[in-house]
Amino acid sequence: MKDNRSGPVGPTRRFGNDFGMPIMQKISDPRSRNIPVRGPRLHADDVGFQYHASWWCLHGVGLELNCGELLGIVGPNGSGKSTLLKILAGHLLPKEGEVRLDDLALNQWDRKKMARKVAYLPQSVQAVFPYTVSEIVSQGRYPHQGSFGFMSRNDCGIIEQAMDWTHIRPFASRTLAELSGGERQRVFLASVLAQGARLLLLDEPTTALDLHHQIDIFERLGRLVDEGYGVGLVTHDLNLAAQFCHRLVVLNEGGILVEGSPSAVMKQEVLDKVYADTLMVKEHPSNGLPMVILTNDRARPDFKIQPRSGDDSCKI
Amino acid sequence: MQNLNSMKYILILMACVVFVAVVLVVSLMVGSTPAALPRALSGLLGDASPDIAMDEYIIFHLRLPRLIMAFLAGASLAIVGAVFQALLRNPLATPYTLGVSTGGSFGAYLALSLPALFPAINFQWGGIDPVPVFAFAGALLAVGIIYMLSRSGGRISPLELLLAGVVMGAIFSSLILVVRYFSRPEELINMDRWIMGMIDITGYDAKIGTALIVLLPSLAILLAQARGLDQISFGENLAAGRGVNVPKLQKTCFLIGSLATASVVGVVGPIGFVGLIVPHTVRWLVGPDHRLLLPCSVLIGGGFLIVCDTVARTVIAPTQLPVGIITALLGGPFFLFILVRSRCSGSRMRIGA
Repeated sequence: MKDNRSGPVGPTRRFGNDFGMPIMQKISDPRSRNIPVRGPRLHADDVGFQYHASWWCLHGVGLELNCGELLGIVGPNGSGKSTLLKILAGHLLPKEGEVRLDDLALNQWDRKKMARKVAYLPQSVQAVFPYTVSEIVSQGRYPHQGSFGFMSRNDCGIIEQAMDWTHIRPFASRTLAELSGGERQRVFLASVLAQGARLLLLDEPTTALDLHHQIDIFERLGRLVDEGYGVGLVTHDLNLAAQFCHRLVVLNEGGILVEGSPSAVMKQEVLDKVYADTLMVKEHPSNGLPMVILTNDRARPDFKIQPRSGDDSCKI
Repeated sequence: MQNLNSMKYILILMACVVFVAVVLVVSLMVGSTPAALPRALSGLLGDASPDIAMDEYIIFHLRLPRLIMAFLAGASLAIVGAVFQALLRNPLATPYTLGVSTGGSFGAYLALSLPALFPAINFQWGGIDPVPVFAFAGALLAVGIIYMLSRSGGRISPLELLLAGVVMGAIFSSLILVVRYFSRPEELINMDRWIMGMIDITGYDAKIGTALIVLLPSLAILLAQARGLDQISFGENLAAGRGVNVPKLQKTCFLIGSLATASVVGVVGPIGFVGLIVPHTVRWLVGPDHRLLLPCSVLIGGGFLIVCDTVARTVIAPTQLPVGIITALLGGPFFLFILVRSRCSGSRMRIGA
C-alpha cells in the first residue's frame, strides 16, 4: 500500500482512535481518496441464497466492503438487502459462492475472532429483560472476554467512550423501556461500537427515527468512517444514502442492479425500474448530490389542490 | 456505571449463601419430632449415648438427605427456568414449557396403573421403584419429540418450540385422562398424590444418588452459559453477530435443561412454580445479568424449596402436605406482591420493554 501522507518519513505513526484500535492513517476527506484505509475487508463473491428450494432470494451478488467507506445497500422491500447483510455477517451461510474476511472464508473464522473485526446490528433487537443501558453497551465487549469476563479497565474505558460518542451517558442507568426510539437506537449503536470491530454492518439503523435523529445517526457514522471504520448499511432512505454514502449498491429482485457513487447510481432510469415510476431525481441545491422527490397523481403539473373549507387558517 | 464488578458479585453471592445456610440450619432443627442439632453434631463426633444417637439419626439420616434433595430440585428448576426464559425470550417460559412435566406425569401414571395388568412391572432396583423410572422416561420422551419437531426445519425457532411444547402438554394430559379413566379408585389416590409433588426421601438411597449424578453436572454446565444467554436474550441475530455459537448454545441449554428437569420430575414429581417465580424474583433483586442471575437462582431456588418442604412437613405435623401445594401457596402471593410493588416503584422488574 502506498503511503499518501505528506510530511516527514518515519516509522508509521499509530493513531489510537476512540475504541482502542490503532489506525494507520488519518484521512481528511475520504471522498477524495482512492486508496482504501488499511483494515479488515469483506469480500462477497458470486453469492446466492435461497430460503426455499424453488426461489433464489439472492443470486450472483459480488460485493466488497473496505475500511474508510460508507456503503449503502438500497432497494425495494423483498429485494434481499437484509439477507445479504446477514450473509456478510456470517449469520447465514450462502448456498452458492462465498464471503471472505481478509481472504479466509467466513465459516472458517472462529466466531469470536470474527466478531472482533465485523460487528452486526440486526434490524430488530428484542429486549425482553430490564437490562440497563450501560449493561447493554458493556455486552458489546463479549468477543473480547472469557466465559465469565468481568470488565477490565480497558473494557470500561472503551464502553465509556462508546457511550460518550453516542451521547447516551446521561441515561446510563435507565432501562430500555424508559427510552425513546432514537435513544434506544443510539444505545444499540453504542453496543456495536463497544464491540471494537472496524467493519460495521447495520440493518436499517435509522428506521422509526424522526428526520433529525436520522441525520444525527448518519453524521455519526460518517465521522466513524473518517476515523477509519468501514460501514455497510441497509436503508430505505435514498436521500440520506445519497448525502452520506460513498458508494451505493441497488439491489433488485435478488441481484445487484447498479453499483457506484450516489451520483452515478441514482439516475432516473434506475429509479424508474426499481421503484415503478414513483420517484424523480433532482440535484440537491447546496451540494449537487442527487436527491429524490415523490411523484404521483398529485404531482402532475395540471393537478390543483382543492382548498377545503376552513383549511386556510392555521392556528398554532 | 453500575456494571457488575467482582466486589458486587461476591457480596451478592455471599448474601445468597448466607440465606441458604440459615434456611438449612433452621430446617434441620424443626420437625414433628424434636431433635437438637448440637447434640446430633456431638453424636457425629463419636458420642454414642442412645438419646444422642436418636437425634443424630433424625437430623442426619431423615432430614438432611431430604433437604439435599429439596435444594437440588429447587435449584435445578429455578436455573432451568431462568435459562429457558432467556433462550425462548419469553418471561412465561418454565422448565415445564416443553411438556416435560406432563410427559413425566404420564409416565408416573402408567407406572402406577400398569402393575395391575402386568405384575412384572412392579420391579425394585436397589431402592428405585417403577414410578421415578417411568416418570423420567416419560419426561425424556416429551423432550425428545419436541426436539425432533423443532429440528426438522434446520433451525430452532423459539416460538414454534413454545407452541409445540404447549400442544405436547395437551396431548399428554389427554393420555393421562385415558389412564385415569381405566384406573381403580385406590390407584387414583396414589396418582393424585404423585402429581402434587412430594419430596419423599429417607436416607441416602439410590434416588438421591442418581439425582446428584445428573443434576450437579447439569447445574455446572448451565451456569457456564451465562454470557451467551445474556446475548441471546436480545435475539439470535444479535448474538450471532457478537460471536456466540447460537445453535450450540441452544442445543446445550435445551438438552441439559430438559434432562435436569426430567430427573427432578422423576424423583419429586412435577413441583410447579419454582421455575417461574424464582428467576423473576431474583431478576427483580439483582438484575437480569445472567452471570449473577443464574447462580443466585440456584441458591434462592434451592433455599425456597427447602423452606416449602419444611413448611409442608411441619404445618400440620405429623401429617405431611405435598410440597407442590406449598410452593404455589407461599410463592404465588409473594410473586404477585413484588409484581405490583415493582410497578408502583418503577424498579427494574419490567417484563417486555
